[in-house]
Amino acid sequence: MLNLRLKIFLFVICFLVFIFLILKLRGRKADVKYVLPWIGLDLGVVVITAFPGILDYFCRLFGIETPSNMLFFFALILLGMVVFSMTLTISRQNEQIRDLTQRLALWEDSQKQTQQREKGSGVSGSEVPGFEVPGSDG
Amino acid sequence: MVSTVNAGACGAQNLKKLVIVPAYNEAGTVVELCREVKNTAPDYDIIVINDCSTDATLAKCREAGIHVLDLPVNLGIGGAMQSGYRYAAAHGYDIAVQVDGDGQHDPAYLGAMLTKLLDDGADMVVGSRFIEGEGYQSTALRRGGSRYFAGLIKAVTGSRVTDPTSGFRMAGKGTIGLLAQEYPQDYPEPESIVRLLRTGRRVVEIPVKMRERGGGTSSIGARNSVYYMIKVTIAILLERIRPCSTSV
Repeated sequence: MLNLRLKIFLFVICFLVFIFLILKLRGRKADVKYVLPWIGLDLGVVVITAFPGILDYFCRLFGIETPSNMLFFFALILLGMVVFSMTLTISRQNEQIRDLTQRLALWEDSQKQTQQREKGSGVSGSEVPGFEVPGSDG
Repeated sequence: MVSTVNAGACGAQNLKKLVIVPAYNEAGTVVELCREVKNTAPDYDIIVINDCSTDATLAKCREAGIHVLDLPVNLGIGGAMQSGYRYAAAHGYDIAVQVDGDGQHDPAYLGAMLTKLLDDGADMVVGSRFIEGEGYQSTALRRGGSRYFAGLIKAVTGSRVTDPTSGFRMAGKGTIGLLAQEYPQDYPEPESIVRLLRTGRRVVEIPVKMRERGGGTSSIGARNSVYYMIKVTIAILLERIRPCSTSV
């Protein structure tokens, strides 16, 4: 069993975390999509703290000595999952930002070259192959 | 800045009107849909938002001479729609209407929606498949989901909306500006309705018959439907605790 002091401590922490998350959502500082795992984690800890029997069961299953160790072990696993999902998100976003930056640079370059050609300054660069200027459709 | 279009029936002709067609892998249906819009509502401009389709959507539209906004990165339905509203705002459109690229929305209703928007002085008109319960009614599970969101919206805003997940919607000029600035990202339909209602705008519905989608797949499968319900529920409840500004 978790002792009462630890239980109260965990409840208070979870409550404060929950309020913090809701305030961030309310002020549009964070997106629901990315806050959901944190809310899930928070509620998970509340459930486990309220019903430590779950912990005792898993303690026996995994051979862990004390329920509090099991709790921290659980939290570590879940945190790892949340952090890794962020790694995936960051990787995808890096990819997208690179793509957008390159497209924007190529587009601006082709705009400049078009302008220069129109001025007749004779400075004509090579065409950008395989790149379509947005809005060039009919 | 609630600007309703106060044009009478005679002024409706002079309004700049735009049909926004969000398309993700709808090569099989989108060209036919645009042709249908051109025939039934020739006074509407059309823009297809190609959300980084992996099929021939872009090629087919260009081939048919349809105006396409080609997103270089897949943004999802929310980002795609916002691009459409941004285009509408940037080009001074008075009316923007969202018609899905998969053919489930019948452009024959555009006239009725416009009349409703102007006559009611509404900020948004939504085509609802549940008012008269005719046409394609979707699966029982989805109807249940719609009813649940309708109840939630009623509780949060006090307004009755029968088909909060309908993507068939027409916006007036003030609404276009608002949606261009800020649009909910994934699963945006119920959330955007709540946001409009909470900022004091009028959202009304007209009955429509929807058709079974001609192609493509719904963005909401069985696997992520639970996630969808939870996410949208939280988003709607959040609107309740946000200070309701009438500006933005």
